[in-house]
Amino acid sequence: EKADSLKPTNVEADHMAYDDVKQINTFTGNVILTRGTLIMKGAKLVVTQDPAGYQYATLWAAPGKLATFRQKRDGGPDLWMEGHAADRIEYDNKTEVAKLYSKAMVRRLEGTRATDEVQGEFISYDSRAEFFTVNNTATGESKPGGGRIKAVIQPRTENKGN
Amino acid sequence: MTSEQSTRRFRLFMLVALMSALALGSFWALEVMRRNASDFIPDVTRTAPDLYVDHFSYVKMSETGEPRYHVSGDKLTHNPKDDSYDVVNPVLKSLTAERPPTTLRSDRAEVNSDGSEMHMYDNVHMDRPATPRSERLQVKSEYMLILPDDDVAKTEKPVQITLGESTLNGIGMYVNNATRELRLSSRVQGSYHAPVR
Repeated sequence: EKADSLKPTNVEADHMAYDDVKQINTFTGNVILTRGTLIMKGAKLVVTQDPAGYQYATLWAAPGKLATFRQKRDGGPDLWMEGHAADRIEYDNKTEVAKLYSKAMVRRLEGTRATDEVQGEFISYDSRAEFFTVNNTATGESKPGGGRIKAVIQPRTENKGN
Repeated sequence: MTSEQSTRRFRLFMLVALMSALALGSFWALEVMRRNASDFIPDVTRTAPDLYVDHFSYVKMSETGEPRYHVSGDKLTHNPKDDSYDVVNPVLKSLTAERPPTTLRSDRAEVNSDGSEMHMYDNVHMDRPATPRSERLQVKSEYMLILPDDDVAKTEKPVQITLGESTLNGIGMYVNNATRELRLSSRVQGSYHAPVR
């Protein structure tokens, strides 16, 4: 949700290496990043910071595992957004766009019930506008013959009171 | 074998025997003299400190003559047993020009004889001011081993680090001020504050 962007980013990990010259912070070993309601988990996290102080985080999945994220959505008491990627998730805290690479999946939930779900090789999710685009190659563009995109859009039940 | 050859060989053998006896004898005499001399000087080394300095200030220069680091403290005591020094309230400042000056203080420290290792104990506090390209780094721990000549500080104890706005805790740290890298070896927990927009 929007309030997340003003919250501090907390990171937990097994190890950390900070290169002061290039200002790169590398966390390794079951990394958990939390920021307000946003929770990201993975094997390796690299955080770089631009002179203006914005951070760019890249979260790699452990081999064979997934890098996951979960965040609360505005507009309702229990609306969530979840996603995972087999390779990595790049999160740009200036534009608040998360990019999920290879076998990516993003779904919206109400409570625990998934309302929409999208899968594809690459998904770009703008957490501020809650808008996501899906492409069929892990590099991020759409090319004919790339992977398939699968989208499940649940019917909206009428005036469910939200 | 004619008797003449055997007598010559016998005489040769006697000569060699005489010479080696003479050589060994001189070694033996030398040994006796050396051992006698050391009996007079008692070699029991003293254990109690043999000197102390109050409010000292010590600057170590590099080979090219510029100051490398400055150590000061309230009291310095020398221990002859292992030729080490104990320091009360030590303050260690690195002075190399091109790197940001780092200041390290603690309640007490033990420094080895050539000053290559400095064990700092209790309330160790490292402070490196911000530079245009890097944030202020502060580290707190209860113990830190400093290698002043290689500009390295390390500990296996828990550390609390503040790096600009963010705070970092962990156990086991290695800081190399020359290559400007910092590593935490376990249970890392960091908190970065969002930039004020």
